[in-house]
Amino acid sequence: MSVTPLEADGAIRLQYEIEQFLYREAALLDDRRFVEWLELLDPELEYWMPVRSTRALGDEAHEFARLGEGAFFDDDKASMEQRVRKLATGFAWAEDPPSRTRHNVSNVRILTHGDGLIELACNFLVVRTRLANDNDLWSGQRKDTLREGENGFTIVKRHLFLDHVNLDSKNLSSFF
Amino acid sequence: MDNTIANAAAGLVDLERGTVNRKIFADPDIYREEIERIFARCWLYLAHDSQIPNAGDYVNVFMGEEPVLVCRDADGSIYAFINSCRHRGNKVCRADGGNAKSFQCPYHGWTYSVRGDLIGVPGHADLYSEELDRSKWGLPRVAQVDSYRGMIFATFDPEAPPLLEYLGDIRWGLDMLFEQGDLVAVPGIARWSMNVNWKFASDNAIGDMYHAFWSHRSAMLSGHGSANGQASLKSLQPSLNNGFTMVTKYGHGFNANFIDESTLDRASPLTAWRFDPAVRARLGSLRGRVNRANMLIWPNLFVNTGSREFMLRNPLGPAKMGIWKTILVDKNASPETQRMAVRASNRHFGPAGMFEQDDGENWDQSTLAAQSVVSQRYDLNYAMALGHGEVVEDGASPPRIDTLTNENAQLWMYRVWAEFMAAGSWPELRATIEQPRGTL
Repeated sequence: MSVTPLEADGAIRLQYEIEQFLYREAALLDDRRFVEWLELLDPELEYWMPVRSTRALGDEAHEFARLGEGAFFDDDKASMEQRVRKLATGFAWAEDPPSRTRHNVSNVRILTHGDGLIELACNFLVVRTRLANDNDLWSGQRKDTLREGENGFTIVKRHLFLDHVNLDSKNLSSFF
Repeated sequence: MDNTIANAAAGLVDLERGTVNRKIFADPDIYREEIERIFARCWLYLAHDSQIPNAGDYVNVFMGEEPVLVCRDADGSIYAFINSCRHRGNKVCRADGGNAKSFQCPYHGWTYSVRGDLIGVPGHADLYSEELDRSKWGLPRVAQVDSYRGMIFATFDPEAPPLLEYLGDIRWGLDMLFEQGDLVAVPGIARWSMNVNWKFASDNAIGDMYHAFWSHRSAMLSGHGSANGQASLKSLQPSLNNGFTMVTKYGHGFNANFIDESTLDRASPLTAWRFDPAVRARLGSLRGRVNRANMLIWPNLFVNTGSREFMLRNPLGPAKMGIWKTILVDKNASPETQRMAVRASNRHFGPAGMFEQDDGENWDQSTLAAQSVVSQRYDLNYAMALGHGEVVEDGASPPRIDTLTNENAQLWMYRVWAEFMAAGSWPELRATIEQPRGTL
């Protein structure tokens, strides 16, 4: 594949901007700046984490539930706003005292780019510790669609494909 | 089975005082007896009929701690057997579900039919000299399997009463769910696990209308349920007379709150069944007024008739429990209506559910607090409304208590738990166990 220097510069620049956006977003979550994080979510947000099951070789198509089936998250912008409001009520027991999280984003690949939309795939690794002894490690692949706006990117789609079938966690009260 | 341990355990529930000793949520020996006397004895929920519609369809489930394969045979009948090869014990199928013609153990290749019969042994002629009687080495079948309105149950105990007798009066409650439509299981079972003794989840299911207002306060205040947070919160205000409670002989029960018809969204397709005259006629006036019932099918299935879920809580140790959540939808509803129902359930229950994330937190803490020696000297209090739970037998329903918020049902559950622990067998249990009567 041959590219002109200008095209290569553009691709590198886009990769850089997107990675910086994803890192800033992860930092907002780790710092519990959830109201600011909400601003990154597009009004048309589709935020989805399907459940998964173990299937025999050849039956992988049935591993992940489809949209409209069983999911851990099946949310839109309004319901994400509810989740954030919940945390601030003073009665959100799963997050009071707050969990400590570390959001790691890696292997960022831009899949498509056009019409102001960028589809990307990346890996996520979220570490959650809570109270004295709770330790959770959630990993998986993420497929995001970002919209390029005047004020930067917004997240239109976030599809989270966990590496886990059984979540050994008493709750999933963190954001991804 | 150890009678000394089991009898001592049964004594840890004090029905006069309404207290339960914390040891029963922590002690490994008591847990072991529970597995024998409750989980190896009761009818347990396995799956919904719609999950295995075709010949060869199977799901891998658990009955207590036992891995069990549930399969549909070519003639449409259902077989359930322990998923453990008779040769070295390995699972003969390691997928959660699918379709199979037979199951072949990965270790040495022993092969079983979807009925669990041993149909192939490599080297049967030369290595075993045909001396292995394959008819005697099939996968161990459950003692009985049966279903109620699509819910498949099985028991390991040949002496267990028939399923319909076991369910008894709770069928009246379960029908509140099944009258809502032709319900099928939505693909995608949410599975998660936590450091929780299974009984805390069961006692929450059978009759804890006290916790909702406080445990789930943040969800309501944030606008989950309705845009008006204060109004939704008010709907959970613990009250005596806004519903009723039911307990049954074998430990099933529910609490049901009445609907406020003025707040009902009549335009929502999710509530359309309420206005179907045929459904109203079948449900009658009492059940027709029910908004939602939280129900326990003893010992470990939580049924929610409001958002239509089965939540199976399997014991994984004295302080460990796995939850499997199955959503049900009306198969005749439009795709949009089904989507709406699934979305609502996904957001409500499950580890990330607006309600359930806080349940996990609280049950974890209850379980943790049951572990230490000195704390175990201080019993837990299940005495709310003790001595006030008048059992009404007026023919409008099976025996019920006409209050919504009480701990009568929870204490009843521990009473049944103690009966199961003390009884040596099903015949003994059937001879001694009593219907709820008088005042609880």
